[in-house]
Amino acid sequence: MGIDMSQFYQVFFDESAEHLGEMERLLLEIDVDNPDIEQLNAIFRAAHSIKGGSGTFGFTDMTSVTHILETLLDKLRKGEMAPRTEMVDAFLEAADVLKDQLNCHVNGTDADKSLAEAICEKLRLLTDAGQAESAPQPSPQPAATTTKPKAPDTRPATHTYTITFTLDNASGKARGTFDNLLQELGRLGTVETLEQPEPQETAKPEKEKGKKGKGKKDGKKSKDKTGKKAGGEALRWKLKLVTDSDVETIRGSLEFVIDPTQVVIETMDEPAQPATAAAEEDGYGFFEPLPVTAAEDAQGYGFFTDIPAPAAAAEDAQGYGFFVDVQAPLNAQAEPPKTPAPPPRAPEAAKKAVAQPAASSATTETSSIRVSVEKVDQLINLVGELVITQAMLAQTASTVDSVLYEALQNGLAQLERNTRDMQESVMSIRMLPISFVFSRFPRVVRDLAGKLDKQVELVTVGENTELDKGLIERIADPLTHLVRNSLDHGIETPEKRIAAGKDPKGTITLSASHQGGAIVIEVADDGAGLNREKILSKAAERGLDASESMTDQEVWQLIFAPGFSTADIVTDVSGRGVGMDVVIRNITEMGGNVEIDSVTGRGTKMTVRLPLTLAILDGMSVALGDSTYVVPMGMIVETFQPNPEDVKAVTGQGEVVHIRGEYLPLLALHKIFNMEPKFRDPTQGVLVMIEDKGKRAALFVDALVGQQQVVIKSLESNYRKVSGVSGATIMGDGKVAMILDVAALIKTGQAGF
Amino acid sequence: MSDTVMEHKEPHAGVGAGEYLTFTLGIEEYGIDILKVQEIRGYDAVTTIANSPEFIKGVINLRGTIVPIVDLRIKFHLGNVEYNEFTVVIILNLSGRIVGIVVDGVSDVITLEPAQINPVPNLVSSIDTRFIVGLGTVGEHMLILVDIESLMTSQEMALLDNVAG
Repeated sequence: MGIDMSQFYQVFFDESAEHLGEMERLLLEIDVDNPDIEQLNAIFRAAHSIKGGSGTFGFTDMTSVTHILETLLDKLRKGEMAPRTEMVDAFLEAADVLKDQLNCHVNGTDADKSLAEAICEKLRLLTDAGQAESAPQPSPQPAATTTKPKAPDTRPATHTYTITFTLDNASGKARGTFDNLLQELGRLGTVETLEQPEPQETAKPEKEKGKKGKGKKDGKKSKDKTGKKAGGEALRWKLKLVTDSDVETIRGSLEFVIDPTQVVIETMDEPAQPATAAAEEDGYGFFEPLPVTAAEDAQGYGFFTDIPAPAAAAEDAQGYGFFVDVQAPLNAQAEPPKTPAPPPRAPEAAKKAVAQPAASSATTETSSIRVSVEKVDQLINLVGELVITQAMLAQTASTVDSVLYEALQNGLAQLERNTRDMQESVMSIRMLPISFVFSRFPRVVRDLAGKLDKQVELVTVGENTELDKGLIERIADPLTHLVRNSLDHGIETPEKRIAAGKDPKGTITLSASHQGGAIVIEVADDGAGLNREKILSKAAERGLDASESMTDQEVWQLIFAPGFSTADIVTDVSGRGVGMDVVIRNITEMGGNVEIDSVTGRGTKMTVRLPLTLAILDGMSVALGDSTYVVPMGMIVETFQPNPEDVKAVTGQGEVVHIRGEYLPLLALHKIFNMEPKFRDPTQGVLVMIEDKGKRAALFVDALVGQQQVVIKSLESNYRKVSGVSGATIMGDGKVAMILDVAALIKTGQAGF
Repeated sequence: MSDTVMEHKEPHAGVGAGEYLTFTLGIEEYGIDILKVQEIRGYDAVTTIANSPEFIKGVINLRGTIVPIVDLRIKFHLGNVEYNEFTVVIILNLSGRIVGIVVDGVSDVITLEPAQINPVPNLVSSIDTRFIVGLGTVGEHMLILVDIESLMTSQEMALLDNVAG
């Protein structure tokens, strides 16, 4: 079939990335001495999904790695082997290799084969080594379950199955296909053909022969598409298979050769396996050495009906990789199938109970839809335009007779409320919890602490704090750098810590919270703190403007200078001095800032503050001459008109205004922007008290115009950065107004003009 | 400068061939590649940008996008700088960047064959010759063909942030 697979690549890439992330997360959580079966299962499933998908798309390098990974994982989850730390390390390494391979496929480059081979070898050795040992049983199911049969613990004994194949012979190839099937089954055990079509039937298509099947099988066939094809013909074989594999293994081995709907497998003996199958849910567990190239033949289904449950028809969900949604229907199919022998009721009831909690704990996302980012951005743009249009209407409507047009006014007020609600809703679509960023840190900390021989514990707080998706991606690298810095320079070695009277295990705390209109992320450690003297001397060395009289805060900010480092030794982790200035630059580009607090000997805290980026802003419009400017409401403390005696001049530094015991720099906007104002006397205009990061100033403008929500439009996309202006917006009358960059204005104010 | 366009025999896709929008600045007529022109509109409601050069008039709201407007007449000290209902603004789309230029008037869109395009002698023009790609002749008119993209993105136009970091 000539389906163009490349259109599905992106789905596969996205989902594999998710599976790899999930795998890593679980691997870091797993307790080697007391592993949770469900975690092992989930890791197995993730590897299996990646394998299926990569097989479908012919990414054989990934398939080989995941195959061996899966083999070992399967043994672990079945209790045949006990997990060890080396295994977890190897798994993490394998995940890295897979990530690398995936990236290479995304970018169209070639992955390093030697890495893949090395990890495959390592896994193979671990698998073989483990086989030799006797495996202690891994701890059984989570406490939530009821009486569950210890399915993973009991190795299934020999089973007998009756397998019925229905093959369409329209192409005359049925015989060949059947031979393939026979071969596959032959690997699993002993096969005996019970029934087969007459030789001449297989040669060419004929009318459908009468069914030779036993009565009960008819009732079980939910789909029999092949038999009813006009012009084709269905040929049926019945085999008896004696094997110690379970049903999924059999199905698995057949999946590349035959459509699952064409196979019906029945067990002829005690149904220990259905319980196993159900408990494992999606455990496909085929680990026969299938030729990897077989993947190319299959128009990969990737997942298939679990148990030949006739009632639950094979709901082959269309599409290739929507694994998330599949969890639900497959769980439904975990209902016990009707088997010839009387099924024990207890295990089935118990396995149902297991399926539920297992399902709920296994899938963290319940129902969600994948939407491309462009669509969301488009939606946000449209909502922005809607806000502008609504503002224009409001403006026009304010000029009409409100009594005569009362209905109109009411309608518009309603419109404003609706628009505001819609806008908030749409904005929140792009918001994701910061756990997406925090999730990578356990791994970073673990690896780095191991490398540096330090004991570190990572504590995360406020993982549910949400921020815009775009910010999440951009904050990841700077945060990683800060964490690595904390680990490398902050936290001391265990010996040093004991000598200092501290717990040998250091703690790094990552926390996130909303404060005002910003999101605040803190990276704190209880390490050695910043060394003021060292920084000052290094600064002096580099010719930076630093003096003893600087406050601690100012001294700490020196470390952001390019090339600055007080590290004695340069490690490959840090110390070269290229990190912090990049960090501060990235963060300022996002409109944020970094503060540092440190106490020598006790620890350091870096606080990153980012705006909640939204494209819509509450602003107060002010007039200056003929122009209108917008000041972000979040940064306005109050507005007032000063008394003449409160305005004072400070020689060489401009004017200040006295308000409630404070003296604030008076920033005359007309001077900053070189424009002709209406009032040059502050006492005739209006002073807007603005605040940024604790620093305040008074902005002198002609008058206040109004307050409204404005949509932030980029000035820089077609023009360039204008100092003092952070963006532009379109007012209700269609004119452009500049949004003032309060932080920059305050900074100039502090420096004097 | 370009000395490649003297093929009389066959028109080949070299410098010159194409359609040009012609406009006037002062007494000179210029031609720019029509593909760079997005639209032509009048001049109104420009919001000034603080501390910007005089020839950058400000920005306008072009159906939701903020577009800077440059008055070439001021920049090149040409013509009568006045703003009325006849003032023309050409909105350019230069590889994604939208910019508007104020000119004295817009004439035609003409097609030029390579044969009609001559290399540029050392003429003194208001526009720096490095932005002039050729001289087109249409009847008696001489058109100064300008590489408008290079011109608008050049440093002196101060439209872009060319400073690193």
